[in-house]
Amino acid sequence: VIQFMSLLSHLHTKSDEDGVHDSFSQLIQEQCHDLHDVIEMTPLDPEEESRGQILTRNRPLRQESRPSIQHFPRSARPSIRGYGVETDAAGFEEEENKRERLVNNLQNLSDSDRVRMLRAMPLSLSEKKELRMLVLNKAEHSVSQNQIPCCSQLKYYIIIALRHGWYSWLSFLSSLQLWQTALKCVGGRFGTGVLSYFIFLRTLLFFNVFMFLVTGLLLVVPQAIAHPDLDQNITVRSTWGLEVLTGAGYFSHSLLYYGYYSNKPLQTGHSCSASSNKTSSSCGLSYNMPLIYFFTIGALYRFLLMDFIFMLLDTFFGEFLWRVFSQKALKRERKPVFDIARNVLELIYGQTLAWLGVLFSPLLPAVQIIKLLFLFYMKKVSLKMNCQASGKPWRACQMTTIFITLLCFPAFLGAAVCVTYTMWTIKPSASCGPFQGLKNMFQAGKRWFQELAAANPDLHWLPSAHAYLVENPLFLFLSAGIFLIVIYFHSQVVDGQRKIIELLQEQIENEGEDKKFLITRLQHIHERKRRVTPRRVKEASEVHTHTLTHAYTYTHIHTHSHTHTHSLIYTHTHTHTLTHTHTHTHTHTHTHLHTHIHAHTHAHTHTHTHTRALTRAHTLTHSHTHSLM
Amino acid sequence: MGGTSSKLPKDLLSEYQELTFLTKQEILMAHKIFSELQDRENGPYSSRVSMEKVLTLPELKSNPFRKRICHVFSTSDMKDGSLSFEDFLDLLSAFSDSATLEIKSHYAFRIFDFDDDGTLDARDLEKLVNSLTGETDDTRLTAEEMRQLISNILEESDIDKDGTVNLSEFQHVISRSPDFVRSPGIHSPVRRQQHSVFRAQRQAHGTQFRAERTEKRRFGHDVPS
Repeated sequence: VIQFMSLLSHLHTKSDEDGVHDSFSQLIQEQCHDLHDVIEMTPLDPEEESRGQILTRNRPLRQESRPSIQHFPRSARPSIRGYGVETDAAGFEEEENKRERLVNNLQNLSDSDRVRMLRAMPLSLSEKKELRMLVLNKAEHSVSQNQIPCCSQLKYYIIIALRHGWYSWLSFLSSLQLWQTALKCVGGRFGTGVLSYFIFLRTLLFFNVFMFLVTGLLLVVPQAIAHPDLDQNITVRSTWGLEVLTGAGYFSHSLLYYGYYSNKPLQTGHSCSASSNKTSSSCGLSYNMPLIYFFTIGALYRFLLMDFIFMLLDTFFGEFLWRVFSQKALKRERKPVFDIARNVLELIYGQTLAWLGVLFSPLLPAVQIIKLLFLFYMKKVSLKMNCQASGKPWRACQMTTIFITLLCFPAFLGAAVCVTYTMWTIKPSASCGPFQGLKNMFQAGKRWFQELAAANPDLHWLPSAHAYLVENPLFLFLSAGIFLIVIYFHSQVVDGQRKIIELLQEQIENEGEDKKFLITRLQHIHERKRRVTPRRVKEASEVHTHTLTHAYTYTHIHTHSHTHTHSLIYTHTHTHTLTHTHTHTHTHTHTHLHTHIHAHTHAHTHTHTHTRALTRAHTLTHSHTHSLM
Repeated sequence: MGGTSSKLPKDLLSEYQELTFLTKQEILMAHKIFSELQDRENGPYSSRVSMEKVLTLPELKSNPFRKRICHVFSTSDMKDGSLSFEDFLDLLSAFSDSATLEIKSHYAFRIFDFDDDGTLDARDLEKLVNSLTGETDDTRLTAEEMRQLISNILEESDIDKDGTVNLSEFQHVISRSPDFVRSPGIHSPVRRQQHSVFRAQRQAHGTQFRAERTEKRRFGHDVPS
């Protein structure tokens, strides 16, 4: 299995990164005295897509094992191996050569790869700076040799400037995150589950801000600025407190509800803004006297408000009083746990109300924004006072996906369906609102097309086109059909990816089992060796010789696999038995899915053929086969 | 004493951005904090801040491994744990969210290696568990529990059975622990046993440790303990 895995990894580590890893690991290895390190030189998997490997596109588990690290002698940091570092001239020279090689390999990488490699090296910052300087100096030398024509130089500058701009934009975006500190505190104290609730709240807040910007800028602001006079035959009540709760009275003729928005041309006399009032069936509201009564004085604003009040009460009773009760009366040790599921459902409920209501009350997103802001701080305070971290782990990323899915499917889709139905069939009111006198809201669009055609004789085809395209049901069927085809295609892609994920998980499990098997075998080997060889004394030299024999077995395994992978290319010239063993390993790993006993026999034969090929490791492979038997 | 509010030059800033896992804002914030620490040093402008001053930072003050952290990241010749600005950046980069698993496990290994011999032997592990379980007597493990725990840990992690955990064994064990790794791990009974060992460690210190974790107001970085 080692051979197969290393073979695979070697097949796809043909990139320059391998050169960096090799030279880096060589450099480190040269400075190590402890031969234990040799076992740690396993080949490395690159992080990007590997070539020649079928299923690695979505490789979830990254097997990266770096060699153990020794520092450059100039650093005074305590080194891992306390044996000290060579400082004589010869060792220094060698180290310089290795360093040169490392710098060369770093140079061959692309910019982003180099940055990534340098970052991931566990060296001190001053050493990294030195390395980087060496690499860049070399790059400059090679660059200055060619005469760059002026247009590509300009392109070079533009690319540099764009990259700078892109990085600064990214850092600006990341610094813009609202409540980042507060979220970190909550996440640190109470865990990622509770954190996912607050992140969901913030996401909803952004949705509402976006919706508010759209409706506000397009709809509210023009109407607010230049409002035509309405007949003021409705008296306005003066009790302020009650109005906030019921949404009636003063509010009913304000910007909050649809009745405020009218269809009449504005007094400013701009014809374009007049037409814009009549159009935009998507942001206008249909208005039906009984309906508007139902929605404005009645339900949705009040629903939202009630929802908020109930959340307040819930927080108060559910969390604060419950904690007091449980600590005093029930004498429990711990505070209650924050109930994430219930709170998330309440958030989704509130957001559904807002979406339902936005058709009739354009400022409802604003109300929702205020409510969410309030809720965030309230929940945070209540959390700190009343709750404690949950004992059960909570898988936060999957939960976030579930929240958003729940938000989208029942809530948003339902609201969208209701709104569309309303816009399509309900007859708008004749007395107020932008859709006065129309049969349904979509008529507004048709009228706009007609008026455009009337105004401009070149566009005479517009109303007929509109009649054919929008009103003809065939168009709708076609577009729905295309939409369904796209959905089907995406669902098939998701299906295929799910299958690949299953395969990869199986692969991971099998590799895990193999690892486990190999480790137990290694442990047994060591146990046996320790029993045979004399007891460990505190003498360093004694330990050294002991580990020497150990390491020798390990080098054997290592070079074994290494030569095997290398010799895949020139195996044909060496021995036929080697190619034989290659196929053996292939079938070996396939059958290892079935039984381990099978694997035993396979490995046995494998090394057996190998003893025929390699003369050097003769005696050692003997012990190897022994242990496997 | 007036503070020398020196600005970080732009090329240095971009260089640090390339070589560490920190963002530009974090580097500037680190520079500000480090300058404040430097100002409080009595004496001329020195490029290193002594360990005592570094340990006054709230992020490190209640961390049980604070002294080891300073020693590990210090590049001073006198081995006194004093940090230069670049050492400080190294520290923050290793503990940031975007640092790779190898970097974190590498530095964690060196922090836990109390006697700096390159391996975690039984004494290192004992000191490690004692640091985690706290100062007072009622939260510490008894000698018997300690022995049992250490033998469990060695059984799980020590592959070559030399009684110590070296770097690769440590990294191997860490790669299976759910706290370090972000992607789902392998479902194997060995990993479950590893879970139980780590869970035993965590349960040993109880609520006292949780209460000691200060709020990371300035950076938001969790310094692992």
